[in-house]
Amino acid sequence: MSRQLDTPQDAIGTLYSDHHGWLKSWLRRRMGNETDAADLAHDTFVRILSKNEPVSLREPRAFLSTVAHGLLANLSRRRRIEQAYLDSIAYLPEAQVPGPETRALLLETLIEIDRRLGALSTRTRRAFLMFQLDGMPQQDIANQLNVSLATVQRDIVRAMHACFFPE
Amino acid sequence: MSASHTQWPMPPSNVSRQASLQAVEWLVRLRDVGDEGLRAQWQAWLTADPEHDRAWHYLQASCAGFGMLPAPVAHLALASPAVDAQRRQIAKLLGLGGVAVGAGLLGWRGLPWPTWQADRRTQVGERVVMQWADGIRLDLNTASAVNLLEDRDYRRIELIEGELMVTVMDPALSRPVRVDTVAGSVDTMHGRFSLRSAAGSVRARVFEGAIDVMPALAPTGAIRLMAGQAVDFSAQGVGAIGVTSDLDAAWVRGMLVARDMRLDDFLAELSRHRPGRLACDPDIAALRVSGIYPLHDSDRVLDMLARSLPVSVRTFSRYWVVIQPRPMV
Repeated sequence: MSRQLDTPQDAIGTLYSDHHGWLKSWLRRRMGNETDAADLAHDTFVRILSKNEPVSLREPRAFLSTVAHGLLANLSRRRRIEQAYLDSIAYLPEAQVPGPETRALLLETLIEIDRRLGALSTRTRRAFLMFQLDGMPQQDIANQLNVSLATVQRDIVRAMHACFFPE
Repeated sequence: MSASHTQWPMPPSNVSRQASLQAVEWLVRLRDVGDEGLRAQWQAWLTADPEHDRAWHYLQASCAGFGMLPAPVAHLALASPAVDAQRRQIAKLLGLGGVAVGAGLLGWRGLPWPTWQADRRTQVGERVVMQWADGIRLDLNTASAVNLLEDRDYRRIELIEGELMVTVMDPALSRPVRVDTVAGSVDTMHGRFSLRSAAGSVRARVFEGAIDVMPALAPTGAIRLMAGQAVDFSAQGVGAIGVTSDLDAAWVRGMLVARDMRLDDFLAELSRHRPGRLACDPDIAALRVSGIYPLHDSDRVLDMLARSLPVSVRTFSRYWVVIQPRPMV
């Protein structure tokens, strides 16, 4: 039976005292780093608190790991995109490196696009990026990705729709 | 991550999935085709329903916003979904491990100098001039790194990677200048010379004065190189002495001077100053290039090549350019 406590705060208090240590070690195994794991475990409880919804304690660990997993995915997305950003400015003369505000805005935008493109495959994403960023003709994209023109068009439509008209 | 943080508006709420999908399909169909009939069909679709018009205008604005993204960053950041990225990350870690192990076998000092600790480094395409004490001038070419040190006996420069021009013209110089490189060291009291380090070997060119070249593992093989002379040396020894002229120092003034140079060599030289990949079709690699070209504007150099040689420049992106034979008309 699922047991719901009167106030979410109480439930979270129980959740915290019973499972915080377990969550931290669960995260440590995934992140390989004590500090990151502690930060994310903290963020997980903050996230649950801020939702202000009743907390089911029937499967507390499944519940905690689901929330933590979402945060972990966001974090790894952010790190991956930050790394891509750093890799790409490594080539730029100092004067052309964007300032901190531009950088923050750019990263937010890239993270949001990446989230919208979701699980679309590398081929689909590349077709879209070549079309949209480089303005390549579709036949050239097809040649380069070694697929038919029809496939490229389908890829571009899918990715563009996902990107500009998110569900 | 809420959408309100992004630069784009969310799509208008009064557009159906069907209308938005059609708008995207039209955009993709129309982009490469100038077909009048197709445009007429699109025009009919656009005016058929105000919803179509809303979807279309929102899509146009979004595309324009997307076009503001810097292409290299966006390509790197967005090319793969997250799972691939994790695999890539692992491959990268393994690759790094490989480099660290391999490096132990390479250098006579055990490990190459870590370039990220350099006192001064230049990015690809960047050149800097530094004035050091005692009237010593250093010109650092593209993608290069140096450390500057002083000890009791020498003013020392460590050339970590890339290319350096050293000008020592002060008659009151208190200590000789020594440049340490992966292949050995170079001393001078008076001279203007350049050193270019690549793959464990260093090319030394002397434009004024003289330098002493000492290979790291063959101290008895040291030689004195005079103005107008050039030599390649490695840690094991010094090669045959060749000639050099001020044209080989043109990079200091931001120019690339080619004299009857093979096209592939020319492009290899140019690509040192340009981020990304600059590839040459083998069929035209042996074409000859002569002229004086500006290093700061490699796009213009490529245009100049396309006008003077039977080649065409194929640009997949700013960072990926292929020089091909010009198609027959």
